Amino acid sequence: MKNCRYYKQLMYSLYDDELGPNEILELENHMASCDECREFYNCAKKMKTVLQAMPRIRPSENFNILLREKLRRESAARLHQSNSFVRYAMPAFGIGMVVLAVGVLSVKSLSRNNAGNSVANRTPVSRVQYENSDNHNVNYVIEEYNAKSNEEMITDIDSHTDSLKSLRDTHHLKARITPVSF
Amino acid sequence: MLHKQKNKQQEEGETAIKPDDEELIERFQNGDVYAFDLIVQRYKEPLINFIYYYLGNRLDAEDVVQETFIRLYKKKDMYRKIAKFSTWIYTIASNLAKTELRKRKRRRTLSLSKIGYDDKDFEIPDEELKPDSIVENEMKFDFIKKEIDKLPDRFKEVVVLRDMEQLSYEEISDILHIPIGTVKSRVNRGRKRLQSNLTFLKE
Repeated sequence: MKNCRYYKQLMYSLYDDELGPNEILELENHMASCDECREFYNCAKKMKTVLQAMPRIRPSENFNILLREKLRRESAARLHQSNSFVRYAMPAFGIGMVVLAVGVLSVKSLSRNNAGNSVANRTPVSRVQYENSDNHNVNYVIEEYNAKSNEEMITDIDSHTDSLKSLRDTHHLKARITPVSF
Repeated sequence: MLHKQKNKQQEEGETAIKPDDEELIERFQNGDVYAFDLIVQRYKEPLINFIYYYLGNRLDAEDVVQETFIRLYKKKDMYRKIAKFSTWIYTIASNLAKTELRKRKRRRTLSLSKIGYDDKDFEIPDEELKPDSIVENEMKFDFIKKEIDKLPDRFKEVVVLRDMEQLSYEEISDILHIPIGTVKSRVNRGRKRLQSNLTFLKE
């Protein structure tokens, strides 16, 4: 059942020129028998005229002058910002680069020294921790040894470990042999 | 002098060919500042009217529209041809107007119901629009404007765009980024509310 609410919606579609001929006819038939809808439609029609006839505002005469002035100020502010960047950010960037370069050089020279040490067969140290039957930790330090390569070093540690294992068997130490550091 | 002559020649060319908006913005993107002037010339009045009836104040409307053109000037490269230029510039203006409304609400110093009384330099309505005797009175225009001001913002913006700026539902939907169905519903609700408040329509 189509009620007045439905027809009022149709009226706004008519207002927008969006109704087909059949719908217009249907609306007209309804309005012929409904005073309230007829009055509503007349008001809607008047409102359309009124809104379209509302005074148009003209931009003020100095609109373009003000706009240009604002654009000029905007450009000046941007220029100032970029100048500030050049004035402060560029030196800061330069200093940063110098610090970075010094850091990189230091790290390189340090690693070169380390490499020299390994070539000279400096002595890595391994500590092995045991737990004896009284739950007391016992640290065994694998003595200094010379190794020419990692493989040799590992073999060396293994041999020490083997000797420690036998030591463990001899002294009834609980089996936990953990290399702590190298 | 040469610059003025060049401008005059260009203006004559414009009136003869009248480039569309998309062509103008493309020219501006390629560095033609004269194209920017033409855009300003073309859009300043419709935008001021939209913002004026949305914000209710002439000075604020001019400020918002100038800010719109400044944004356009600064962000011209952000425009892509996938959207209509008119939709894009109305969206910028609408967003700036909403920001202005939010500022006002925060300040709470300016009552929407009190603004606009001093804005009397209206253009005389075009005779061709044939306004009936009721709306020829300036007092009635003031009354209507106050009633428009009283509408909730979401209804006011769509009613102004649709019934005063004569934009299509599709354009409004693109400008406000809301579905067409929502636009239609808001327009009709806004119209209904305005219609019931404009009591003189029943006379």
